[in-house]
Amino acid sequence: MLENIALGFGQLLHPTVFIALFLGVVVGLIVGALPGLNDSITMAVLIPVTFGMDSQIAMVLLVGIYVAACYGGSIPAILLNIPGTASSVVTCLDGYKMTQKGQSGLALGISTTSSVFGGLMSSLVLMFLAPFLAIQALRFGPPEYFSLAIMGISTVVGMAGKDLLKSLIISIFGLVISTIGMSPQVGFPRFTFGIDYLYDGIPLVPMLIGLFGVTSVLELADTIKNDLLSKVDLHIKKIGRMLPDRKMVKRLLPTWITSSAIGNVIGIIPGAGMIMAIYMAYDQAKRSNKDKEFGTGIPEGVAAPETANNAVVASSMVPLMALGVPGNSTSALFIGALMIQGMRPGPSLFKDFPEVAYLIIAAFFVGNILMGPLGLALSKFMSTSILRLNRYLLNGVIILLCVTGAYSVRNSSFDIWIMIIFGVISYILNKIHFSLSPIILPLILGPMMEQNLQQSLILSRGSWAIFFTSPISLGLLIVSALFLLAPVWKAINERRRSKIA
Amino acid sequence: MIVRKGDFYFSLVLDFICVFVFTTSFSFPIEAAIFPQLSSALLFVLSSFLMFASFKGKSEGTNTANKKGFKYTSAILLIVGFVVYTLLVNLLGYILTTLALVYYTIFVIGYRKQKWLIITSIVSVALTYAIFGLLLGVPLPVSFITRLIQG
Repeated sequence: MLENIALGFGQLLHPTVFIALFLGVVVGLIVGALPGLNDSITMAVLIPVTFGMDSQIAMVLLVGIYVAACYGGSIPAILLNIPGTASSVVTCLDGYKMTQKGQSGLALGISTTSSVFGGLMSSLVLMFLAPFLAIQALRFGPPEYFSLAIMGISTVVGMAGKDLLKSLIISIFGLVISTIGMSPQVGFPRFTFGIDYLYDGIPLVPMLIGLFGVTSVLELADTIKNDLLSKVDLHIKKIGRMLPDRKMVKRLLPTWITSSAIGNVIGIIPGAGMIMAIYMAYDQAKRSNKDKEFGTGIPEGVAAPETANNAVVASSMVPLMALGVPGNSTSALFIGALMIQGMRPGPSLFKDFPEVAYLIIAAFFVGNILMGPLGLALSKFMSTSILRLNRYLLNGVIILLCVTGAYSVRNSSFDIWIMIIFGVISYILNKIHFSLSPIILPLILGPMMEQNLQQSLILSRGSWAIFFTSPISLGLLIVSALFLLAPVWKAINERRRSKIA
Repeated sequence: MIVRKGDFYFSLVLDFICVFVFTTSFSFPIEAAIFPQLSSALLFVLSSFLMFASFKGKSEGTNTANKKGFKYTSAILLIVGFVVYTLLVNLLGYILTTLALVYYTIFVIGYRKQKWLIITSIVSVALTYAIFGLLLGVPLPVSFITRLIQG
């Protein structure tokens, strides 16, 4: 394995590959710092651009964006109290208070060092856990893969909290939509209505561009119209010293370790997501520092969420690379990127394309190291220039990239229709408090589920017991049930407690 | 009775989709029919449960209009613009229609400084055309006039 890791790092020494990673980190920092733009939107519109690129260059570019965007979001969170990305929501609480106290430089420095620490820890987890899991996954047969897909979907549903039913409905709706196109077993066209473009099912990349890009433009149009974002109060004081001193590092070290552990565990669970990780890490930091008043500009309040969200980044790639199940919606975009390059994530990726698999792992590690100095250097520039970019003009450019990106996937305007349809559905559902993002995982896993379900039933001659007789499959189904039942159990307990109260 | 209209109408739409998927699947070979039937049946049960639950819930943000007036005008105009763009892109070509789309999008959102509107539209479309069309070799749509000239 060490030879393969060395192979991954060796490829990064190639100037073109390194420059692509460098550019990815810079782009990630900038888009993360722009409220309304995030890693998912940028990657969704950039995936078609990677079509003409060498697979190595394409992958490291996307890795760079993914690594840095999460950290970039903390810059407006700290300076303007506007989270650049959803994962920086908690950073606002103490980060902006530090800015108001004249400690914006220190807050940005803590955010940078915490992000680098969390990112490096999760890169190590990805480096050593993904190949190990991939070897184990080679033992999986159809029943195990079917149960794995069930587990992937149930984690997304289970994490929905109060919206369990809505999340479950959207997930199953995704499974229904995944049946559009040729059936995997017999190649029979289903629900294609005579449209040839639908024979391969709903195209993933245009759908994702619609879900992220078009929806964000429509949402942003509402926001700007309602004058919520146009008045940005820039009272950023002098940035000053940024890097935390040795005493501060010593003080923050326990928070970094705990938060990166939380981020890594959450990242590995498919569907758990960054938001859960940042809240858990912040909560844990609060519990460990009872003498400090969080929310008043406490360094630990910046360090905890920033370590945790960057720890989620690389670890969310563990299930994707090892099992073909994406850890979150952003890592799901890598499926589209890999498929465009003719590769499929999962255990076969390590076997068939080790040079790409280990390059991705190495790029996560080096990308996090690059993010440190680049983040510090760009913070001042971003805090003054980029955050003042005109949001009206930016919207026009986003939609331009969306339509061009969607068209370029198959050189077909049909894919622009797919983009519009999913963008509009997502926008409407957001308005009635439904999130369409749980649809992504079932859409990806649907064909895999169907194929493995049918193969399992053929193997067992129609007996569903096959899913319970295999220990791995049974274990996965038990975990799935726990994920689904946990929020129900929690809700029942809360109701009981409130009745007693 | 208070009804969560958004939940109600969405579950109604889902139920129709489920019935369509389930019944249509009977015309498929058995191997191709199992999964759509299983998933649509499950979705029907869940969405019916949501419909039932929507009658008991509190009314929540389903009104499309507020007291100050209709607030989704920009979004609807944008969607209409996207549809018209998709209909025309193969007829009028990428450059002209996309230029119009970028201009239209920024204008609809509320930006009125013509100089920057035009500069942004032209520069961004030119850059995108250079990257996708020239650098990456994506055959972006050309106008019917160009197609006629090229034979």
